[in-house]
Amino acid sequence: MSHRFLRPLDGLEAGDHACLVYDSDERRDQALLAFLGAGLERGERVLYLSRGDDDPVAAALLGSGSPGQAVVVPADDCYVFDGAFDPELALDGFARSVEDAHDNGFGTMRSAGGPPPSVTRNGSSDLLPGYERRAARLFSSGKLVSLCAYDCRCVPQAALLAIIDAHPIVVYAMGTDARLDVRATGAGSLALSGWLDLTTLGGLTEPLARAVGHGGDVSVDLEAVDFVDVACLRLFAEAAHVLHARSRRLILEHAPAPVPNVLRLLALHPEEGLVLQ
Amino acid sequence: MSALVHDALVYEGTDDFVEHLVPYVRDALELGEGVLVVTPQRKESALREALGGDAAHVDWRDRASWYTSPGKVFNAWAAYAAEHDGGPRLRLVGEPSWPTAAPEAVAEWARYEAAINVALADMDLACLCLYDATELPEEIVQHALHTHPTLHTHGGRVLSDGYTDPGEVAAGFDGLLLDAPPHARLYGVSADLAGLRACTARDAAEAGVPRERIPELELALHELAINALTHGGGRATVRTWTDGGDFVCEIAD
Repeated sequence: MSHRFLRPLDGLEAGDHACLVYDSDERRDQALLAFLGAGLERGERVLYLSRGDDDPVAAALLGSGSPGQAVVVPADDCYVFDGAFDPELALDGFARSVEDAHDNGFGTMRSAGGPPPSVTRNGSSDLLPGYERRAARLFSSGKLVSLCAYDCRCVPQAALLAIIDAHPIVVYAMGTDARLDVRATGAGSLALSGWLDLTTLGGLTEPLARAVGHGGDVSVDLEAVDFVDVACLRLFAEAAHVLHARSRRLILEHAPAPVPNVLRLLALHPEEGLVLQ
Repeated sequence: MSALVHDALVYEGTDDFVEHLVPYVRDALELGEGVLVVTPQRKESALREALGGDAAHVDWRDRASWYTSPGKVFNAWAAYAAEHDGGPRLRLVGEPSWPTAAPEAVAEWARYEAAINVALADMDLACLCLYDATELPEEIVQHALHTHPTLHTHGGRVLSDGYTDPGEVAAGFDGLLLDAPPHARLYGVSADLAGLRACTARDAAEAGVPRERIPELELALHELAINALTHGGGRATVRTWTDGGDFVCEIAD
């Protein structure tokens, strides 16, 4: 699947099925609050799958919005039935929640949260990619927008890659990564070192989105990068597309050898705002 | 029941091509269907001339830039169908540019023809694949009979007696794969993709692969490994070895 990585959380709309990959509870909570807060402002039904007691997102939501607008449900109750993860029952529950929101006068339901540790830590992670792929059917009516939160510390790497693959939109809330160093060298310029692939690009999306937002051309220096995979080139292409729409360019400096060929194979041309220097 | 029609037309040179295609195209136009033709320039010119004013109602594409690789052709057909979704039914007429020298390359195109029966099965499309028997080796014409459920003939459409299940067609080419020798190096594919890239790059350098080609090898291997992790249940292995003057890198999931 060809993903989008640079959609701002408050820009997600009804019909969007997005994945949040995070590496700390603080970053997770901050992202989910921004996402759910946008729903409260828009008058949508907000459903939060809490991770248990003492959940700051649940505390912030309770009492927010109009009566009945924010609903908090423990994640365990949404995923686990008779002691085990049951994807079909979980999806049925979501479908009923969308209907319930509609019956209560909310045109859109905005949900956020993810499977509890009882699912991700007990060997059920392999069921999650199929569950997320089947969930796609819930979004075609345009009444639901979801941010499915996955803790990259708990979900095995192969399952996480497949979960990411099952979402059209991927948002990362990640801290620094020893494998990839991202340094801002100016408002619109970044210098990277290490390697750039699907397993490390989570550390790049936020700095890149900030650089794209500053208003001018964006330059990314890859001199100290020894590998760039196709997922990262798609991320650069997405940034270039956004910049091109504002008559700006993304300039990749010192790109490793295969990059020009791969860009040509993917038909990502300079006129779309991507320049190699 | 499948909505896909996947026919082969085995014809004898340009005149025969025109004789078959003119009524096929006119029939589609009379039914209000869309027609896309991707065929060699010389034959396209002959067909345009024979169709006269009707040629303006046909969509034409350059064959060299359409038939670049089997995977890309899939995407090109699917994208074309998606662009015309909601419009009239489509007839897609194409003449693949068959490689004739390397058996592995011929196998890839034959697999592509077989896979169309599965990959596009749910699409409401009519595909007519062209095979010029005066230009192609007999082996490739035989592939057409195995990979198309129906054939266009001067007597009308007939079922292909030789049609073979697509899975069997694909498996039939497995013999072309090289067997890893006992001394092949074996690596498991895990989240440590950088480590895997480094190991195979080292093996390639030791085998004498030119330095400037190694980044391409690393990228190809990495993309296959990501695909194996994502879609192969997370279990995959890589083997590397040399075969004569070639460096072989195999990934299996």
